[in-house]
Amino acid sequence: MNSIDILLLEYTLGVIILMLIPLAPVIYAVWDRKGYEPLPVNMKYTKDPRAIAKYFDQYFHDSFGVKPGEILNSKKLGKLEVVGETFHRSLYKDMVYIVGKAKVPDRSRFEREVISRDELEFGNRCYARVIKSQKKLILGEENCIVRWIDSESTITVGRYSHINIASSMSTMHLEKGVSFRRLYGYPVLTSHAFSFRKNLEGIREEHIDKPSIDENLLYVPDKKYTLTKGTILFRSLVTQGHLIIEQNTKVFGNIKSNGDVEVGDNSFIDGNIIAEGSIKIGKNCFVVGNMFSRASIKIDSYTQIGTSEHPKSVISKKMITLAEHVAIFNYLLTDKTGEVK
Amino acid sequence: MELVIPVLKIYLLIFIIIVALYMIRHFIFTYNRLFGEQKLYYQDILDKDVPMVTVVIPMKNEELVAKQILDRLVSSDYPREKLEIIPINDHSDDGTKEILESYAVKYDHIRPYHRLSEDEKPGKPNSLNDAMNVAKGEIIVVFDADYQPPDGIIRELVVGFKDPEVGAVMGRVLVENCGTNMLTMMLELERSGGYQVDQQARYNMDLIPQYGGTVGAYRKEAVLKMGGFDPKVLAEDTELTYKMYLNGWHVAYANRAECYEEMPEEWVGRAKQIRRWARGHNQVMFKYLVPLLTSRYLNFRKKLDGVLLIFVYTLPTLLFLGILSSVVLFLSGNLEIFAGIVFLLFIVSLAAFGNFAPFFQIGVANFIDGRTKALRLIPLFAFNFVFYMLYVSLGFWDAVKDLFRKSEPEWDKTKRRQREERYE
Repeated sequence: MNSIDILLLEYTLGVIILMLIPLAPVIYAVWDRKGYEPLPVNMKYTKDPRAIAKYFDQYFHDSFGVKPGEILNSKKLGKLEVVGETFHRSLYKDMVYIVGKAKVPDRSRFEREVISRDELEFGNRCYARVIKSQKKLILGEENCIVRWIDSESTITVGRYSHINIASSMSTMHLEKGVSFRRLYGYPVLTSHAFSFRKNLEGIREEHIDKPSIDENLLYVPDKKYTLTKGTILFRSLVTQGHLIIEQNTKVFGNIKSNGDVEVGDNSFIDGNIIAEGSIKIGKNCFVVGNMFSRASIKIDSYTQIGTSEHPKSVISKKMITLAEHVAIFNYLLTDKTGEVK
Repeated sequence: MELVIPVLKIYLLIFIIIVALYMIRHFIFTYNRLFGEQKLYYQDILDKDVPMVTVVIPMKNEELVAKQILDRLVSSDYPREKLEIIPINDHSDDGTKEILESYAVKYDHIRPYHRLSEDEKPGKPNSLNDAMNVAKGEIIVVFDADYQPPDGIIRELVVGFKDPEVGAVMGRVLVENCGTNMLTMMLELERSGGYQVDQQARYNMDLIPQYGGTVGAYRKEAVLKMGGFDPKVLAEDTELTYKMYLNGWHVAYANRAECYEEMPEEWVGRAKQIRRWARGHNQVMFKYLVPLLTSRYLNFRKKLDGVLLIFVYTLPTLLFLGILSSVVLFLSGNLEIFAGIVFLLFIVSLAAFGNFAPFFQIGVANFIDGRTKALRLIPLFAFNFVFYMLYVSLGFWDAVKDLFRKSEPEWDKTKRRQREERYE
């Protein structure tokens, strides 16, 4: 083999090595065989707005098997302090289990979860991470709950409190200034209750002779479209631009707008309202459908969304603003903040 | 020869521009998925008023997987009185019929539909058309037989129809057997790029997310009004997507409605599958390109995306011709002025069409999914580049031949294998 042959061989080897460099991670991956598992899918997942609370409840019982009067330790959940009716200090750093009916003094601070099997009342300006109550739960004014609250019974939240996520198996009263991200109640009421409708009697029946909601869409390609005052529409409506529904209008069908939707006072919508823009619902309206906005939602006073027989959702990517005296059956969710004004 | 060289040069130039356009498109999708505003699907809506749903499962000789999917579906959380399950036995000659009948005895909402007579032509479009005629549901949900639907997926798919503009909904497909070998892992990476980035970005940007024919749902009345599925088209899913948009409906993409599927574990099976898809997709291209361009329901952006999407399975053929052109130009000594551009062609086309999702798209999708170790396999997609170019090109020529053929094409079934139930 002469020097040229050796040089050629060296070049060839060099090229082969250079070509193999990008394959080095592949060779390692084949040898290693890590990260080949399928992405996890929860095959048993069912949507439940109280899932966190139920899961926590189970976890709590599994971890402690609580016996009142004892201080327990759990490897999973840490230390648990059991408290009776009297609160000796204002700062609790461990998880607290409250025995019996209790009233938490003003300005108390709970840095972990608070669990109660009885009625529980918080004073004003308290702070807690989580509150889980089996019975009635009352929060005073200007409380701050960082994660969530849940009750099997009614929940009342005082003025200017922040509750983040709240779920209740019964009525949830929210006073003025309350802010939230997710609510679930039967129903969610803002401020003092008004006599909301329990069912659709007398509303659907008066139009029983008219055709029901059909799938023939009314397409409106205009940038702005108005359903004039007093219109009764019996079909689903899709608009490419803003939609204005003037007062005293009735729509028996779904509404989709690729812009904003404004619904005038005293209107009745028997269908879903879906908007790429914002949704504004006027006073004294009744919507038997879901409201879904990729912008914000504003609901004015004496308006009702859904009924106990037809519970619906109000979902918004941005703000949800509720006036006082609004009833929602039974779910609200926002990616940003919701507020009672 | 004097005429050929300029033609080849012009072809090469135009082709490089088209490929670059695709690359820009995918770059925009990837950027949107990483940094853009994500469009909310409807899965957060809680509503007790749900429509009647029929789940349709086309089956031909599916005895290895039939029990698995039926077991999964009977455990669905969708209200039983609003759910009907129609497994379609499409001329099976194995034990599929007996399995379906045994489930029908146990569960009154499972109503098998047997297509056994010679008058009933086999194939998925024919099966779906027949099922629609007997289905009670206003919404049809479709799963292929090798899929494993989770308990909540029917609700997640169906909730999208609260939007009156939505005509079809598509969920996300995950590869269940991705750990089997390198092929299945690569397919999972590719799928991830296709769903997590491509589909979601198109949904975000209000373009044309694609209905994929399985883990999807559509409005029965709307499809019946459009004339059902064309038995001559092998890609009934792509056809439905275009039909929907041409009739004013939209397709919604539900990224969180995830379902496992079983992918081919052998390259031969994958080659057949990709060739069939390419054939079907190009059939749709021939049929719907002009209506797409002239549609009154679509704006310019949607039309542009629709055109780029409809040509996805044509491009590898054009690329193949592009490479041939460059070889001819090189051998004839006419490539020197194109040297830089040709180099660009190879870089761009390899990045954009070495697979059905460019490398950067696969990388970002798997980063979002939290699966980074498997990305070490990305260099292997250079091999896919050649593999896909070959079989997609063959599929394209099959579609060209179909233009002159009157008979319905024969369906080729993907091979299944029995596996243990792992996700209970």
